[in-house]
Amino acid sequence: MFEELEAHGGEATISWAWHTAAVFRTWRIHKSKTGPWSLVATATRVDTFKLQQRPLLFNVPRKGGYWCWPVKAVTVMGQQITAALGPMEA
Amino acid sequence: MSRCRVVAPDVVRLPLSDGDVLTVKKVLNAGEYRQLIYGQFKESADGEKVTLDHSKVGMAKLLAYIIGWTFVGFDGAPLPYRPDEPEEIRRATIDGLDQDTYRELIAAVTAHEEREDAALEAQKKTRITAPAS
Repeated sequence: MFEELEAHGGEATISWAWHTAAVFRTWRIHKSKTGPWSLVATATRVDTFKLQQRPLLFNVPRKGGYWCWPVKAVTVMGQQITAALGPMEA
Repeated sequence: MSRCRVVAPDVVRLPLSDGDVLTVKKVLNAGEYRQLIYGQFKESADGEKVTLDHSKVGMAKLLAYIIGWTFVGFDGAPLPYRPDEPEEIRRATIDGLDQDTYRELIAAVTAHEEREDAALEAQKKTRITAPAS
Protein backbone atom coordinates (compact mmCIF):
# COMPACT_ATOMS: atom_id res chain seq x y z
CA MET A 1 0.00 0.00 0.00
CA PHE A 2 1.02 3.59 -0.52
CA GLU A 3 2.10 6.04 2.18
CA GLU A 4 0.67 8.99 0.35
CA LEU A 5 -1.09 9.50 -2.95
CA GLU A 6 -1.56 12.65 -4.95
CA ALA A 7 -3.18 13.03 -8.36
CA HIS A 8 -4.12 16.01 -10.46
CA GLY A 9 -5.73 16.72 -13.79
CA GLY A 10 -7.83 18.90 -16.05
CA GLU A 11 -11.57 18.74 -16.55
CA ALA A 12 -13.70 17.14 -13.83
CA THR A 13 -17.10 17.72 -12.25
CA ILE A 14 -19.11 17.45 -9.07
CA SER A 15 -22.58 16.09 -9.75
CA TRP A 16 -25.82 15.79 -7.82
CA ALA A 17 -27.50 12.81 -9.51
CA TRP A 18 -27.59 13.89 -13.19
CA HIS A 19 -27.21 17.58 -12.36
CA THR A 20 -23.82 19.22 -12.70
CA ALA A 21 -23.04 21.16 -9.52
CA ALA A 22 -19.54 22.30 -10.50
CA VAL A 23 -17.18 22.08 -13.46
CA PHE A 24 -13.44 22.24 -12.81
CA ARG A 25 -10.61 23.50 -14.95
CA THR A 26 -7.95 21.94 -12.73
CA TRP A 27 -8.10 19.65 -9.71
CA ARG A 28 -5.78 17.97 -7.24
CA ILE A 29 -6.65 15.16 -4.83
CA HIS A 30 -4.55 13.95 -1.94
CA LYS A 31 -4.69 10.91 0.31
CA SER A 32 -2.40 10.09 3.17
CA LYS A 33 -2.11 6.54 4.50
CA THR A 34 -4.54 7.12 7.35
CA GLY A 35 -6.32 10.31 6.35
CA PRO A 36 -9.29 10.82 4.06
CA TRP A 37 -9.21 11.89 0.42
CA SER A 38 -9.19 15.66 -0.03
CA LEU A 39 -9.83 17.75 -3.12
CA VAL A 40 -8.68 21.20 -4.15
CA ALA A 41 -9.99 22.43 -7.49
CA THR A 42 -10.47 25.53 -9.58
CA ALA A 43 -13.97 25.85 -10.99
CA THR A 44 -15.16 27.35 -14.24
CA ARG A 45 -18.81 26.96 -13.24
CA VAL A 46 -20.39 26.58 -9.80
CA ASP A 47 -24.05 26.06 -8.92
CA THR A 48 -24.14 26.81 -5.20
CA PHE A 49 -27.69 25.50 -4.81
CA LYS A 50 -26.78 22.11 -6.25
CA LEU A 51 -23.55 22.00 -4.23
CA GLN A 52 -25.66 22.18 -1.07
CA GLN A 53 -27.61 19.04 -2.02
CA ARG A 54 -26.66 15.46 -1.20
CA PRO A 55 -25.40 13.02 -2.32
CA LEU A 56 -22.66 14.63 -4.39
CA LEU A 57 -20.03 12.85 -6.47
CA PHE A 58 -16.66 14.08 -7.67
CA ASN A 59 -16.16 12.65 -11.19
CA VAL A 60 -12.92 12.40 -13.15
CA PRO A 61 -13.31 11.20 -16.75
CA ARG A 62 -11.23 8.19 -17.81
CA LYS A 63 -11.28 5.94 -20.84
CA GLY A 64 -14.63 4.13 -20.87
CA GLY A 65 -16.11 5.89 -17.86
CA TYR A 66 -15.36 7.90 -14.75
CA TRP A 67 -13.53 7.63 -11.46
CA CYS A 68 -15.91 8.74 -8.74
CA TRP A 69 -15.55 9.78 -5.12
CA PRO A 70 -18.46 10.66 -2.81
CA VAL A 71 -18.22 14.24 -1.53
CA LYS A 72 -18.52 14.40 2.25
CA ALA A 73 -18.19 18.17 2.70
CA VAL A 74 -17.49 21.02 0.36
CA THR A 75 -16.31 24.62 0.75
CA VAL A 76 -16.54 27.26 -1.96
CA MET A 77 -14.31 30.34 -1.94
CA GLY A 78 -14.88 32.14 -5.22
CA GLN A 79 -13.69 29.78 -7.94
CA GLN A 80 -11.64 27.71 -5.49
CA ILE A 81 -13.32 24.62 -4.11
CA THR A 82 -12.08 22.33 -1.38
CA ALA A 83 -13.82 19.11 -0.43
CA ALA A 84 -13.45 16.10 1.81
CA LEU A 85 -14.01 12.92 -0.18
CA GLY A 86 -15.01 9.41 0.78
CA PRO A 87 -13.31 6.28 -0.58
CA MET A 88 -13.17 6.01 -4.36
CA GLU A 89 -16.13 4.10 -5.77
CA ALA A 90 -15.54 1.08 -7.97
CA MET B 1 -46.53 23.71 7.61
CA SER B 2 -44.40 24.52 4.61
CA ARG B 3 -43.56 21.73 2.17
CA CYS B 4 -40.30 21.16 0.33
CA ARG B 5 -40.70 22.43 -3.23
CA VAL B 6 -37.34 21.20 -4.52
CA VAL B 7 -37.46 18.27 -6.93
CA ALA B 8 -35.27 15.48 -5.57
CA PRO B 9 -33.48 13.75 -8.45
CA ASP B 10 -35.18 10.37 -8.50
CA VAL B 11 -35.29 7.81 -11.30
CA VAL B 12 -37.78 5.23 -12.53
CA ARG B 13 -36.91 2.11 -14.53
CA LEU B 14 -39.34 1.36 -17.34
CA PRO B 15 -39.43 -2.14 -18.86
CA LEU B 16 -39.16 -2.26 -22.66
CA SER B 17 -39.43 -5.07 -25.19
CA ASP B 18 -36.76 -7.79 -25.40
CA GLY B 19 -35.91 -7.42 -21.72
CA ASP B 20 -34.42 -3.95 -22.09
CA VAL B 21 -34.90 -1.28 -19.43
CA LEU B 22 -35.16 2.48 -19.85
CA THR B 23 -34.14 4.69 -16.92
CA VAL B 24 -35.92 8.04 -16.78
CA LYS B 25 -36.27 10.98 -14.42
CA LYS B 26 -39.27 10.47 -12.15
CA VAL B 27 -40.35 14.08 -12.57
CA LEU B 28 -38.77 17.10 -14.24
CA ASN B 29 -37.80 20.15 -12.22
CA ALA B 30 -38.76 23.65 -13.35
CA GLY B 31 -35.62 24.16 -15.42
CA GLU B 32 -35.94 20.80 -17.16
CA TYR B 33 -39.64 21.41 -17.82
CA ARG B 34 -38.91 24.87 -19.25
CA GLN B 35 -36.22 23.40 -21.50
CA LEU B 36 -38.67 20.72 -22.66
CA ILE B 37 -41.31 23.32 -23.55
CA TYR B 38 -38.90 25.66 -25.35
CA GLY B 39 -37.32 22.68 -27.13
CA GLN B 40 -40.60 21.96 -28.89
CA PHE B 41 -41.02 25.31 -30.63
CA LYS B 42 -39.71 26.68 -33.90
CA GLU B 43 -37.63 29.80 -33.79
CA SER B 44 -39.45 32.53 -35.66
CA ALA B 45 -37.80 35.05 -37.91
CA ASP B 46 -39.63 38.00 -36.42
CA GLY B 47 -38.96 36.91 -32.85
CA GLU B 48 -42.65 37.32 -32.00
CA LYS B 49 -44.70 34.43 -33.28
CA VAL B 50 -43.84 30.99 -31.94
CA THR B 51 -45.13 27.76 -33.43
CA LEU B 52 -44.98 24.19 -32.25
CA ASP B 53 -42.48 22.15 -34.24
CA HIS B 54 -43.99 18.66 -34.42
CA SER B 55 -40.66 17.17 -35.47
CA LYS B 56 -39.16 18.27 -32.15
CA VAL B 57 -41.93 17.20 -29.75
CA GLY B 58 -40.98 13.55 -29.27
CA MET B 59 -37.24 14.13 -29.25
CA ALA B 60 -37.52 17.00 -26.74
CA LYS B 61 -39.38 14.68 -24.39
CA LEU B 62 -36.79 11.92 -24.72
CA LEU B 63 -33.92 14.37 -24.18
CA ALA B 64 -35.65 15.76 -21.09
CA TYR B 65 -36.41 12.43 -19.43
CA ILE B 66 -33.91 9.74 -20.39
CA ILE B 67 -31.07 9.02 -17.96
CA GLY B 68 -29.88 5.74 -19.44
CA TRP B 69 -30.81 2.37 -20.87
CA THR B 70 -29.64 -1.20 -21.24
CA PHE B 71 -29.25 -1.03 -25.04
CA VAL B 72 -26.12 -2.45 -26.65
CA GLY B 73 -24.31 -1.51 -29.85
CA PHE B 74 -23.09 -3.64 -32.78
CA ASP B 75 -20.29 -5.10 -30.66
CA GLY B 76 -22.64 -6.12 -27.85
CA ALA B 77 -21.10 -3.54 -25.54
CA PRO B 78 -23.39 -1.10 -23.68
CA LEU B 79 -24.51 1.77 -25.88
CA PRO B 80 -23.42 4.82 -23.92
CA TYR B 81 -25.94 7.51 -23.01
CA ARG B 82 -25.32 10.01 -20.23
CA PRO B 83 -27.63 12.89 -19.33
CA ASP B 84 -24.65 15.18 -18.71
CA GLU B 85 -23.36 14.76 -22.26
CA PRO B 86 -23.95 17.63 -24.70
CA GLU B 87 -27.42 17.62 -26.23
CA GLU B 88 -26.13 17.07 -29.78
CA ILE B 89 -24.39 13.85 -28.72
CA ARG B 90 -27.48 12.53 -26.93
CA ARG B 91 -29.66 13.53 -29.88
CA ALA B 92 -27.32 11.78 -32.34
CA THR B 93 -27.38 8.61 -30.21
CA ILE B 94 -31.20 8.55 -30.17
CA ASP B 95 -31.29 9.31 -33.91
CA GLY B 96 -29.12 6.23 -34.48
CA LEU B 97 -31.72 3.88 -32.96
CA ASP B 98 -34.16 1.99 -35.17
CA GLN B 99 -37.65 3.45 -35.76
CA ASP B 100 -39.48 0.86 -33.66
CA THR B 101 -37.25 1.60 -30.70
CA TYR B 102 -37.77 5.35 -31.12
CA ARG B 103 -41.56 4.87 -31.12
CA GLU B 104 -41.30 2.55 -28.12
CA LEU B 105 -39.26 5.12 -26.22
CA ILE B 106 -41.80 7.88 -26.95
CA ALA B 107 -44.67 5.63 -25.83
CA ALA B 108 -42.87 4.56 -22.65
CA VAL B 109 -41.89 8.10 -21.64
CA THR B 110 -45.33 9.53 -22.47
CA ALA B 111 -47.07 6.83 -20.41
CA HIS B 112 -44.64 7.47 -17.54
CA GLU B 113 -45.30 11.22 -17.74
CA GLU B 114 -49.06 10.65 -17.64
CA ARG B 115 -48.76 8.34 -14.62
CA GLU B 116 -46.65 10.89 -12.73
CA ASP B 117 -49.00 13.76 -13.65
CA ALA B 118 -51.96 11.75 -12.37
CA ALA B 119 -50.10 10.90 -9.15
CA LEU B 120 -49.21 14.57 -8.59
CA GLU B 121 -52.82 15.63 -9.14
CA ALA B 122 -53.98 13.00 -6.65
CA GLN B 123 -51.41 14.24 -4.14
CA LYS B 124 -52.64 17.82 -4.55
CA LYS B 125 -56.20 16.73 -3.82
CA THR B 126 -55.28 14.83 -0.69
CA ARG B 127 -52.76 17.35 0.66
CA ILE B 128 -53.77 18.66 4.05
CA THR B 129 -53.77 22.43 4.05
CA ALA B 130 -53.90 24.72 7.03
CA PRO B 131 -57.27 26.38 7.49
CA ALA B 132 -57.40 30.00 6.43
CA SER B 133 -57.38 32.37 9.39
